[in-house]
Amino acid sequence: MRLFEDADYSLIPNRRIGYAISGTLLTLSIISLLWKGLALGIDFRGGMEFVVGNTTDIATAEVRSSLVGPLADEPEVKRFGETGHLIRVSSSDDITAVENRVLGALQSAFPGQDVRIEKTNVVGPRFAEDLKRGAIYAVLGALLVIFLYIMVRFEWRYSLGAVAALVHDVTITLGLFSILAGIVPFSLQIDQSIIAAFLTIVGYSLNDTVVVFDRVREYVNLFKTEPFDEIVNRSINATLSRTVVTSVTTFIVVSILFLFGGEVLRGFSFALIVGVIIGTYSSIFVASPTVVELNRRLETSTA
Amino acid sequence: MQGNGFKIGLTIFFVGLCGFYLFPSVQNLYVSYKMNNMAPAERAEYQEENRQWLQQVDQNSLNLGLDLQGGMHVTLEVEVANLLDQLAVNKDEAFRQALRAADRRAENEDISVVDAFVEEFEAENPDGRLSRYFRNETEGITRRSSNGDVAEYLGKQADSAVQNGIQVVRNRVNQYGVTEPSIQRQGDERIVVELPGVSNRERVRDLLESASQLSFHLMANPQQLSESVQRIIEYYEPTAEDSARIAEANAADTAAAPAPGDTTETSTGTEIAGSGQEAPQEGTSLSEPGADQAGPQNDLLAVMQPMPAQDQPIFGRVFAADTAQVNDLLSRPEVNRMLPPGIELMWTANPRLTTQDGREAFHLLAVQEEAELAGNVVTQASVQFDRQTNEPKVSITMNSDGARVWDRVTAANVGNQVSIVLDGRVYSNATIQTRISGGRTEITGLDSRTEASDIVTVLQSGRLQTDLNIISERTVGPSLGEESTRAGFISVVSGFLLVVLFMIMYYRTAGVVANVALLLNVILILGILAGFGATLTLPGIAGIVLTIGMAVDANVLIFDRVREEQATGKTLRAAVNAGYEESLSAILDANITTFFVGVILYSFGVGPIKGFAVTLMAGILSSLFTAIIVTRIIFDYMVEERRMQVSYG
Repeated sequence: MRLFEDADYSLIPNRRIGYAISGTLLTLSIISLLWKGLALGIDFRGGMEFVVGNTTDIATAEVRSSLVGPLADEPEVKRFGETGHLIRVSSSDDITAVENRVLGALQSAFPGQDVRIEKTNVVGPRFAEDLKRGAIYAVLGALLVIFLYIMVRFEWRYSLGAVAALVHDVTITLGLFSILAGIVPFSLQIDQSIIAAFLTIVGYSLNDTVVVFDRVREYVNLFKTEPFDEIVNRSINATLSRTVVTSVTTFIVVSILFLFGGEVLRGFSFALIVGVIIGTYSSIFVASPTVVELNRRLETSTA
Repeated sequence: MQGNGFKIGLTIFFVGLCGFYLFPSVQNLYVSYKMNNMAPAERAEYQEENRQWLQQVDQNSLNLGLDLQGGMHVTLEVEVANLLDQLAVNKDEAFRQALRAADRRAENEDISVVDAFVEEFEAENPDGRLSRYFRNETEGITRRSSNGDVAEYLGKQADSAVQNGIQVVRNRVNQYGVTEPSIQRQGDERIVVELPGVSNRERVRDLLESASQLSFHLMANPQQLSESVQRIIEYYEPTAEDSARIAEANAADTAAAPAPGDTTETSTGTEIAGSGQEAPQEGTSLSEPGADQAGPQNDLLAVMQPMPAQDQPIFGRVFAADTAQVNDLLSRPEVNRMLPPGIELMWTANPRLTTQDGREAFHLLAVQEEAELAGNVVTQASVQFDRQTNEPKVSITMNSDGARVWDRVTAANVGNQVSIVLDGRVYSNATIQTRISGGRTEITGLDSRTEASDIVTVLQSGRLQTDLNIISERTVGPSLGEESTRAGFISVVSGFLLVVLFMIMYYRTAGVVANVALLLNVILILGILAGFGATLTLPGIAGIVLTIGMAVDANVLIFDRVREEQATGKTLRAAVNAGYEESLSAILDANITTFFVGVILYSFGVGPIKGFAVTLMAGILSSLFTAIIVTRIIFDYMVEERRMQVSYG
């Protein structure tokens, strides 16, 4: 089987279409991020999270209303998998006290069910602050290291192109998280695992970008007379088959994680699915065109 | 094929190594499968016979994360600000202000409390000397020590407080009896505790946080105490303005609280069992006082039952729900003055009575405020069983200083009660039977092994230098862990199969070769994890699944290149050579950058995220190896040795 064999698409000449798509997505993302914002998970906000099991037959609203009294606060309640609920409490009381209040309230409100606590996650404000700082350092550090590595292995124009694509990918994925929060039936709060997913997206998108750049580097020496635009276009086309195949295999596995990986990995694998699509797109329509644009500026300014 | 000898050797070496590291895990899987099929009796026998071997296999097999096997992950923080406060003398407003500011800063910035404290102090008091708070001859901190010296000294103290914290936590956890606990230092002021399979969260929290001061206290004289109890009860007696109702209330009270002397509740051991039957009735009359009477009544007796016993200084018995109210009633200064001088009331740490309907009652004991001995004199404590009666007992050994004081205290107090107090709660109280010389002490007359081992835990953990606070906690129940394991397994298998199918469809023979590499890749990743003693978490499994999808990338790059080279008219052999050579730089560049991302994720991530980063990195290393070296060996064999026509699809 062969896909995109001897592909010869006018991708670079038509890059403005890509700019329009990316521009729209970026604008929507930024608007949503500014307007609706991002829901931070308890990793970064602090608080307590309980997953209770054996609540299959209880409606989410009932769980919530039974907890309002004992907790003296409206907790956030969501379905967790088929058989449970996720309860988020932004309390700084003693863990045991809150846990007993939650369990006691549910047990007395639904005596027929054998309600159990399956999972707890408690993050103190100080720890949350540290995790937040760690996440920011991790993302910035990753971008910096990538920029430097590409600069050493290629040159600064490629570095800028790669990093532009990465910022593009992460912004749009964040934007989607912001837009879809509350619409999709699973939690899209930003926590540590989502940051891990973002960094994986960064790695994946970069992978694609580097393969194209590597081909450009090769073709620049091979086709010395051709204009840079065409070399880049030729490189993208030459690697298109590989780009698509790798994207397909990666897409297969992240979809499987999303479908079968369980509730715990839902948000994480969702970020990866979005990332694989955006990452593949951006290596073709953002990273390479950025290098082309930079090259043009450079040529016109030196000419 | 020449020159491939080294590559083949390397491959065999790595695969062998992984096999070696993974063998116990496979054994473990096999054993648990076998045991699942056995009858319970047979299983117990099998376990007994092979205990040591089973333990060894379990220890050497791949560690599963707490999110997969269930358990508790707790991050504790050592309260350094509290430590500084304890260490300091001559504290003034400048000191307190700097300490408060430092505590706030450490919360919001990436700075240690000690550094923040020194900076804050110096900013506010440019000429101030820290040495005036922390003078300590033995540590060489004199009046003339510079602030730098003091900072160094404080840093050392904070460090040793963390070490002490780790030691204390380790003792407590060991006593609790968790298999394969992990206790590690994280950063400057934190301790990460991982307890697989633990489900009693509350007990662990108490165990880890129950901090500070362990000490031995003498207790009040029971005679003297009962007079105080009478006075305090009288204090809460309703005023005389409604005497008829008082009489009524008194009648009800006496019914609820047996008069001194006419009960059998005199000895410690039998008391709890003996009072079990009558307790539920008492409980109801205690919790619903005066249901049939509207008049004034004794506030204290409504929530507390006095326990006038001959040999124990028990102030009263209170159901768990009422303890707060009793605390409230007894905290009044005029009530406090009615207690014998130097006596403080303390709750027992554990309930001394459980009614049939599951309510727990605690005793309020009268303890001398001043401790006779600090807990750190205890060098050893263990649970033992009496040879004759087989009853559990606690054996304590003290150091020489402790033994000397203990000798004096016990000599002067034979027949009196002594209590072990931790954090203001009485864990055990016992009567001194004889003078104890040499520091070897036994506590007998305990109810259960659990009680004995709880006392030992408290004794061994000794005294923490400063408080430990839980700042983060993650627990996963065993059933959710099982569910996650199953979900992870399904994802790995189905992801693998789909990618394998796709590769065969797309690249034909070459796809099969890539799949061999992929299978080897998964084995190598697991081998690397087992070899380095890393832990497999759910995000880690996600990392493996992701690696399966991305690992074929290197082969895809090579195969596409081979196709391209073939298209230019090269022979198969030349195309394969060129394919591997030309795609190498792209493969390396792409993977090295992703590897960096893994390193960064590992250094900043916490807990399960680290697991993800580890499998991501392991996946990159092993996929590079399998995709570049292993597939090359296979192709060389097929193309050069066997002169086969390999289809690249």
